[in-house]
Amino acid sequence: MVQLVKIDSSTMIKRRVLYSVFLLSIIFHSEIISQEVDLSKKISVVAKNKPLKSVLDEISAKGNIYFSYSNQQINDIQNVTVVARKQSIKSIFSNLFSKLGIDFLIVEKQVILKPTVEKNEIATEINPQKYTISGYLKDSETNEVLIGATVQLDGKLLGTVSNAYGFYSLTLPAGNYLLKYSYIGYKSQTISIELLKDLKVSQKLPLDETDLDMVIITDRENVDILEINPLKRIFLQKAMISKTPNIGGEPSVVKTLNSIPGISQHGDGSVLFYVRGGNKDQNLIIVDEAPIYNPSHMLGFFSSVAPDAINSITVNKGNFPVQYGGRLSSFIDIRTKDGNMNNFSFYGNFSPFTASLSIEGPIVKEKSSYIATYRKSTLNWLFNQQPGDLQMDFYDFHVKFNFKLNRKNRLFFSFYSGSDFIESFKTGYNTFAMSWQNFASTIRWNHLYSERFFSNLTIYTSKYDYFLYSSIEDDQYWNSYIGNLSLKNDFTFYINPKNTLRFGFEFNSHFFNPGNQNDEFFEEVVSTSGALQAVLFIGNELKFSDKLSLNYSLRGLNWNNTGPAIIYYYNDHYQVKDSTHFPEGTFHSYFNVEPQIEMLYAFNKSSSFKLGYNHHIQYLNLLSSSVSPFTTLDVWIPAGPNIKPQKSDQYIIGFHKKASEFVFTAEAYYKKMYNQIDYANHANMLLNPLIEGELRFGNAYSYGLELFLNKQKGNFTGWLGYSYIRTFRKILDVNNNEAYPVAYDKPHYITLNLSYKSGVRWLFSMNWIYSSGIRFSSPTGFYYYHGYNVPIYSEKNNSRLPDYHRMDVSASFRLNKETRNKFKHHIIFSLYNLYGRENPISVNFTKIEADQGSFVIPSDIISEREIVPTAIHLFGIVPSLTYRFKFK
Amino acid sequence: MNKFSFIILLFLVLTSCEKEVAWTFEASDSRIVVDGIFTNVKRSHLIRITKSVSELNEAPKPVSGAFVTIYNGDSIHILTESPENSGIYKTDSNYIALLNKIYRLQILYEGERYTASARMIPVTPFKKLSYTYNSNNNLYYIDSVSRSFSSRESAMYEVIIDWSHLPDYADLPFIEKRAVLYYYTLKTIDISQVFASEKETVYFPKGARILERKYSLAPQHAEFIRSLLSETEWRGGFFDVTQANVHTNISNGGLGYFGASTVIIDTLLVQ
Repeated sequence: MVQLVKIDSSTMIKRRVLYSVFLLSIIFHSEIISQEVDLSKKISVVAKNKPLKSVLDEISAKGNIYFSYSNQQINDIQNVTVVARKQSIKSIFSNLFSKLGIDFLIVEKQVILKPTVEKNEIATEINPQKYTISGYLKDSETNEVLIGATVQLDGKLLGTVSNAYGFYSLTLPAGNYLLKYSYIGYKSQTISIELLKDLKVSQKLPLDETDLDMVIITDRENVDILEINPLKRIFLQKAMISKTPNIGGEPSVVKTLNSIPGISQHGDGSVLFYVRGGNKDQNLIIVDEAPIYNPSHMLGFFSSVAPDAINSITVNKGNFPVQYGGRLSSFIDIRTKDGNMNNFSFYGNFSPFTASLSIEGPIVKEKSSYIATYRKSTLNWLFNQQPGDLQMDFYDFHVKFNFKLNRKNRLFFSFYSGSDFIESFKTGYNTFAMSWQNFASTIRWNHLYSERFFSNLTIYTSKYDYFLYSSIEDDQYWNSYIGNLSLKNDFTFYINPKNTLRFGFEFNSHFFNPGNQNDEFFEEVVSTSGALQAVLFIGNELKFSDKLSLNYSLRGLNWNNTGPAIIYYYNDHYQVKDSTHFPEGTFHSYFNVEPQIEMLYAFNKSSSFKLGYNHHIQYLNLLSSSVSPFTTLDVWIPAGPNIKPQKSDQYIIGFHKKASEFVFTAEAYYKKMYNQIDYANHANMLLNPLIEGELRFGNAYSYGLELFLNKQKGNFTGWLGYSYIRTFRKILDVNNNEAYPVAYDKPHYITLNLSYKSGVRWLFSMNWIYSSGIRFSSPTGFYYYHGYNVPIYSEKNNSRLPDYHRMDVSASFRLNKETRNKFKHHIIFSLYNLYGRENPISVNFTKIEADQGSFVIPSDIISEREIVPTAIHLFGIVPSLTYRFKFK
Repeated sequence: MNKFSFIILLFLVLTSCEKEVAWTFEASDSRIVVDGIFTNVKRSHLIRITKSVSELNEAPKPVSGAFVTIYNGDSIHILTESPENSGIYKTDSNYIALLNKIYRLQILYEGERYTASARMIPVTPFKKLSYTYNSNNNLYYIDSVSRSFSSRESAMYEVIIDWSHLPDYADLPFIEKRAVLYYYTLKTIDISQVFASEKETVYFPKGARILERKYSLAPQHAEFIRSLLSETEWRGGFFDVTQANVHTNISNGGLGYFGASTVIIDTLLVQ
């Protein structure tokens, strides 16, 4: 339901009684207006020198539409002449209103009339006094804050965007304004304000569709192209995530990311992804401000973070928001829901693979809320088909409390825990297993120092633990972890609509264990260590005009390695030449700066151009010599005396064009990455105190072109993405010091996602993905040793796996006929890999054919059998049925 | 199919599988390959020298006519190719390698000189291997030989199973009534090892004789074995590591490994 809301202002009431009454009448009577405005309808109107009011009445009667206007603004007694025979209403409007200096605005079922405002009226305001309108944007039903919603002067390319906490602030010269609030999937609202003092307006937007999961509808016509622009950042709504179901019909955060050009997946069964040629550790993923170090479950078949807990996701592939950094390639900001402040509700789903349940509701109505989500794998029914003690299990648990202390203060507490346990086969002595756990917790305090000065103070902690059990029976395991405890305060000062200043500071305490055995039984072999980091940042978003904006920022990072720690120093042959045992305190430091600049130029309301540059620093390194698509051995170590911080310079040029219902973006980039890590041949990554001696260092470069065509409006929606990306490394003492393509150098990458909403109950989706095959080193010869068939390699990554492609389809059906039911439920049928493409994850040259067409590693060295090249693929056609429900 | 593969298969509801594929290899120059271990057992020790090949399953050509010597710090022994043109070079029959000695191998072939050195370290006693009866085929198989991981010692186990003496198998070719298997204990542990591909199971009948030899592995030798296994036994699983050439201690672009190990032996009869 669309509402035109009157903002309290006694002065305004006096001056514009009729207009206000009319607006208020719409509030109370809008429900009885049921027709849509059809501007294409052809009618005949012939009137010569008749009052405008009578002409409008005639159009209203014939066109079955309703006009709204203030007769203090619109002179409806003036005589007009109209001669239109079987013309569209739109055409009649154009001819009639252009002569009279009247603009018309369609707000759902209403035609709002208002005087045409001259383009530079704001700038030439007679009264130079400025006031601020500020507040929060929320879902009208749940009070959930709306992140990235637009607030705009109606008809003007001037406005702002709500921040990650739903807060907005707009400072304007005193005057009368129509403000339009809009957000993807929600009905826009236009309010009238008389700005003669600072105003606080927290606006609630109603959903545009009773089931947001079903559709994406955007109502962002004429938004400020300098604010809402896909070249700046990419917003992923939950509806978009729901449309890219993963295996088992489960929506997947990472799979959705993989459909964006420039973000390429590793392959089947994997949540590893690579952004613009960056390695897998170069992506900062945060959940409510706290980083998640491994976003995978079940080796990588599922993404961490329960989809039902997610409010929104923002993706940056180039320039990051100034308050975030620490990775070279991408920043992915996952915000969880705050909880419903008005009503209790619960929802969830069941499928053969996972089950999820969420509950949310008010603690004190309108003041505080809670939300809890628990998701668990339900795969044990499969494992029970196989004798033995095999298990693969995971869960996610989110809980969040949200307290609205008063208008100026809000408090959030959020907690996330996710865990995996995979028990493998038994040998004569041992049961092997692997397990990993993500933990993240955040306390945030939002405070308004003034209507234009927003502060967000965050204390957050994260920890990622990885366990590899060599014997569950004897509790013998190898464990590595990374964690942090951090304090951050970021400030936003909305100087005016054209100038926003962001600044703040952050302190991080990091702790690392690169991998040791159970400390109850074994001494530490690989030195643990810590690090302290202090960050100062400042950034400015400046709009020079409606056409040109500049966003520039600078971060200063001070990094200090702390003891106790043992550091080994290496000679040119990677042999230990010295070692030092550092006591508590700082023993090594770095200072770096991260400048970023982004210029956006709008040719007009529908097309824009971007130039960008960024320099990023990364002090954290994930060491992994694996080529597996799965979560394997995760060892995080910090930059220090032997490992210089990773750095990157990226240059970006972009173009954006909106035409009709389509949005097209094109971006090209060149990225140089320094102090990149590769590994010695057969590097020993486990229980190796000299692990840093296994590393090889050098530079990398990547370049690419990304094209994206998106249609988000209407019943038929979708997007098409294509990227061409090449990435090479040149590492000392690897590949004879020659440059080589990285394993994830997959030049061609195409994604197609189509959705069709049929009626109000059916939604059909289809995804198709194509990419060049992943690179690997294929043998160029063999030799025999002790009966083993040993490969010989020449150039690194000299070959590719076959090209990857896959199509998934799903159909979602709402079981309720009525949308107003408190209990709603859906059933979703999906087919993963519709045409059964066998996409190999590896090719092997080590096996012999055994009975029944299986392949095994030969044991008997004197038996003469042929080695057979084989390829492993994971997925056939995977059907699934998911039941989703919601009670509110 | 091992249990882990079975999990994946079940998990994916439909087929997760491995299939034979046609693959074309780029060719590279042929290089010499050395395979030999000197031990503390008095016998004729041998060094096998072959050429690498460019195709899978291509028979390696022996390197014949090389001049091969071994130097232990005190004396030099010349190894003789026997039989002729076999690429197998032997010491005399009463050669014995000694503990803590460093053995230097030198190969002169077609104007090139290849060298390697190895030091013999001691080995600790071992427990007998265990085997299990399989009721499906009334045969036995080895279920464990050693722990794959030990923080104390790296070692190699050679297990020779022979049932050629049993009358029921008299008509079979010799190669079908004998098997040689290798097992390893390493001080390192690798994820690709933990979740390695399934290995062929070798079955043998009651009455078979088993000879088990345990070889000590010096650190460099153990590192070679680890890289060898990474590229052979442990490859092809779900947690493969980056492909890379196996380590070697042969100089001048040679491949393979020359080692020196202390050996202890045990025998048992399957019953």
